[in-house]
Amino acid sequence: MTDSSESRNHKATPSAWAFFGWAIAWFVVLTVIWLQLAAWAAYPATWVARAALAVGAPQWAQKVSHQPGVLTVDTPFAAVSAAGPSGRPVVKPISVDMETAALTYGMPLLLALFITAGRSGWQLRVLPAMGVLWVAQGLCMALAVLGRITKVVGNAQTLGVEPWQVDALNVMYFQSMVLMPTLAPVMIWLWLDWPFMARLWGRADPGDEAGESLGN
Amino acid sequence: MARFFVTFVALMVAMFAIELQPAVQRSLVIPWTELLASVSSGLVTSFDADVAARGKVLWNPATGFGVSIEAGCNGVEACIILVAGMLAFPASWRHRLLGIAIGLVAVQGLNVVRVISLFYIGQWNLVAFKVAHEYLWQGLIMLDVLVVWMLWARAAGRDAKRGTRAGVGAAA
Repeated sequence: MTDSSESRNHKATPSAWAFFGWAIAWFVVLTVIWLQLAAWAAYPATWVARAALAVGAPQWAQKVSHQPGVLTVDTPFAAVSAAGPSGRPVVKPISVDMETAALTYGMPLLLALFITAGRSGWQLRVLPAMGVLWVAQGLCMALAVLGRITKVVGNAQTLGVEPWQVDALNVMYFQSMVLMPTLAPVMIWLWLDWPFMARLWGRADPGDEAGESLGN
Repeated sequence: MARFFVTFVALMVAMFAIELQPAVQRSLVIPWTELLASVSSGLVTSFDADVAARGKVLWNPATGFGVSIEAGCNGVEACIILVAGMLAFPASWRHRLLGIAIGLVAVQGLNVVRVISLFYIGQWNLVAFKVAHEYLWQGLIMLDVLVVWMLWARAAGRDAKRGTRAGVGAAA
């Protein structure tokens, strides 16, 4: 005799392969659309980055300016280049540019996951999800800027920090540029749409904390 | 759920810390990256003779265009995320090891497709190459990791239920 709740749950179990196919399709379509708006869509994340730099690293980020698509940070450091037309070495202040799209392209991925999962009320959950993602993107942008400054200056003593701090910033620069843009949207979506995953796994009660221990 | 996320993040941070060690880079990551370039080159030369690979660079001697497989493009980070997800999720060790073995093949398989597709897209159009390289493929690889993990976690649940029923049957 089959358990009726289990059979109801089995009928409702979404297909992982269908999810994969539709998620890819939505991601590609939304990315193409996003590319047309990328420079302006990055504004919320850029505001967070500017605030983070102003609060966390004012000694490095002397002046932060933003044009659509590019965040520019003027630093107090200078680079001495080879002799100019006058024959004397040229001292040039160091500025770092950050292409904002490089940190904010995860938004289409977040939207694609919510749309594909299509759980009831997803339109309400996607708004706070976007807010959380903008904050994450902004913080990553600030870290990436600091990492780029350490790469350009290249000297811990000049930067006024310890060598291990330079190494840490280099690591965070890499993670911010390569990993976080796509990992953050997936984690935010998973957190907010965990019941969808539970349905996919065929669990009777997605909210059952004890039921999380599958086999343990 | 919260326990899963905390464990996942902790494992991921630990594995990245290990991966970034110079000894690990020298002995594992760089050789893997060169192998990836060789595999990609081997596959492409089966239908296109104008491809060569040296180290981690794949290039077309006729056009001069080439791609260099750098950190972030060798699939190592994606594999670390997948392994962390499997270790953090409740499952038997047998199931975890099996999932990791199959999952790494799935992720690296798609990564080879990424390298080869970018090689040809770059020869066709540099703007398309930038879009595909910096935005599309990054997302597609992460989707691959997500779906591999989803399928594995579903199988882990079924495996556990079979084990539970067998235990109940034996007890009865």
